[in-house]
Amino acid sequence: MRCNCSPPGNLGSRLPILSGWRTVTLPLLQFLLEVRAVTVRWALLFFFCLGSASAGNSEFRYLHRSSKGLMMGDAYTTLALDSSALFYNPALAARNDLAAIYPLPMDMGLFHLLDEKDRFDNADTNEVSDFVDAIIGLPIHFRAGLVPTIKFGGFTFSSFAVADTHLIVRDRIHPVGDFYYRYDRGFALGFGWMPFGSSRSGGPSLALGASLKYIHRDAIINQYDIFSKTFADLISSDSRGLDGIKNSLGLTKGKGWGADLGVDWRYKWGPSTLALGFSAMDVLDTKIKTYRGSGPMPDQPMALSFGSSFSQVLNSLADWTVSFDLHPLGERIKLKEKAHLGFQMGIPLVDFFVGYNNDCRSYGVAFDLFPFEFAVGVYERMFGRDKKRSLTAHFSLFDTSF
Amino acid sequence: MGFKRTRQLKNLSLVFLFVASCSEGIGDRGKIISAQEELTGGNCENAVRILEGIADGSREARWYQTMASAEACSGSFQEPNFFTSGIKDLNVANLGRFLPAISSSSNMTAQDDVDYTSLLQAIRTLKNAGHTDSSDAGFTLDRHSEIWGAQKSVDMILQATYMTVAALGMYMRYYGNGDATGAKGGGSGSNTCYLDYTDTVSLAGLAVTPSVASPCVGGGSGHSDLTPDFGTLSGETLRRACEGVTLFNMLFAFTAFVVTPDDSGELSRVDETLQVRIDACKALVGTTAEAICSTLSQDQCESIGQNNATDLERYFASTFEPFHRGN
Repeated sequence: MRCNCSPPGNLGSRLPILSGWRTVTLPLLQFLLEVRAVTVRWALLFFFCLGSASAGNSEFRYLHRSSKGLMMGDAYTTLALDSSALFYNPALAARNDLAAIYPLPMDMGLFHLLDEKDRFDNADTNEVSDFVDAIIGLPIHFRAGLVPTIKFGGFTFSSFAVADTHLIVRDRIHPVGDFYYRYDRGFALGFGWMPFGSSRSGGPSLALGASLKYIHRDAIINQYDIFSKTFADLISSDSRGLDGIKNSLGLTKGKGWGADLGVDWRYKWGPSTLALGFSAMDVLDTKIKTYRGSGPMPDQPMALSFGSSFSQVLNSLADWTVSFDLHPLGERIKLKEKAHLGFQMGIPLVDFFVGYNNDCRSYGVAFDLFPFEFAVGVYERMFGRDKKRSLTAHFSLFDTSF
Repeated sequence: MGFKRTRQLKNLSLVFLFVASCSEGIGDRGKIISAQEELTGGNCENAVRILEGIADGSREARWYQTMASAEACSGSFQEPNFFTSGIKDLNVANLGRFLPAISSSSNMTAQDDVDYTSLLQAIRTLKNAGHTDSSDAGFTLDRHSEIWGAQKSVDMILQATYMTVAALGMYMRYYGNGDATGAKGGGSGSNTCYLDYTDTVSLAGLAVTPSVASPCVGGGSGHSDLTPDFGTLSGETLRRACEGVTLFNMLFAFTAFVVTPDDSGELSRVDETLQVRIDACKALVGTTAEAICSTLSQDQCESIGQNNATDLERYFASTFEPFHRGN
């Protein structure tokens, strides 16, 4: 399901759970603080289109994640040989084919709305208390990424536009909305070098890689008291449309340069390949310097990842891969949250994925029907004490390699 | 050479193990989020315990707001319900009857009902946030604004205002013996007034307004929890009376603090309505004890009222009695 933040009426007609908001009145915000109902609806719909936190704002936020990787439990550090290579390990650039182009690779993710249907079934969404009861504690999440990529020899160039948005309302007594919105545009140029060995021949090979990236970032990160004057003022002050609301909420813009380093070692014998990799993405953090706005602007934190995988081509009709990653290394989280396990089984035209991380499962399927490739799957994440499912999808068109 | 390599590998593996398994830790912000999650699930005590784990010096505005939430959590107050079934049909023209008629006002069935005392505690937390003196007698909202900044201070005080409205509604319903419509003396109790009045100035004040005869003049009776030792005024009775005084004064002060000059909505009209009663209080009490008409401090109120029933009688005669009667 796509959340496109269309005007309230349209969205309400497509999402039954929201239809009640057409007539919702927020008594305090309306008659005590004189906030126009339409702006309240706009704002709440905007937040609904933002998306989940809990691990919320304290969750480690990568610049971009591959949907297929997420279906494999995010154990993808040694496997990202597609358009997402420069978001996992720049050393993978050394393993490029002669040339490849990925003109429109898109990844999307959305909280599993149908899992939360029960919340709204018995709620009178015309009543503020029922609506807040329904959404409180519900991690709402939406992410999308477009990463056009060109590879040539040891070089890889990716441009990207990635949005990552989260919303969760906590505290039944005094509801507080935790908002996280990030929209990154930019590019990354990576170079991989293989000092010994070859991707194509058997035996061991070692690849080293580095990349340089530029990030232009829009961000809104804040906690708002839902029934506060600040919040009411923010959404009522000449806010019109999504851009107006984003500006009112404190949209902050910044830009910065960063660098990545990586190493990838493989041993290939017969139909089998063992791979080990280590990457340091956004070395020493990519600092994002604010040039407009005064809200918090998150730097892109350094992500240290260790990856491993074992692949085997069974015959011309099937192959399988098992992978194990540890990331983000160095973060103060439990070891089981860092451990990622994935499995992929391929038959002609179709790949199946399953994964496991931090008591959470993931699974999905991909179809390669040139010129289209698409994949859909589900992955679970822990939000506080709750395990929640998210949907993820990948679509690409005219992926070509030589 | 071999030994050196072994040592390097050992060091490397130690570094790897270190970065791979850093012990988990959670900062103050993470603790507040955890407390908010507990409050999402209604686990009040867990939330309080988590928040108490944050040192005094690290307590930001959000800590006080979340702690107030956690304290109010042990009662039944919730803002969403408060707006939907509480003040949805706010009647400023008859505010004194409206407040005790709020649905949550009937939750107070004893003077120490947790629904009510939890709100008092939460209001105190928000009002006194950042105030370091053990007594809050010298505390002002201007000082609150200096500590937290104007915008955050308004948000905190607005949060306290919601609770104050709910608590004052309970107070008036319980001690004013209000019925479901808020009518004073119409409830299941036997009292028709808040206090037993003996002060002649108070009685004169009660008789003056309005045109309808006051049931508190000649034969009226006060609430049993506010009358037993009212003549000497000490202990529990004084505390209960002063709870009413500070709640009434806080609602007036808080709304005045939150309303800006360009606000023309209901909140500013609430402030105007209460202003009439506060002015009446000052006129009846006189300049010597005028502080009782504005104090936000329980300590200061009890200090004024200690062994001195007169000023408190005059306060109630000029505020609660006519206000609740609908004047």
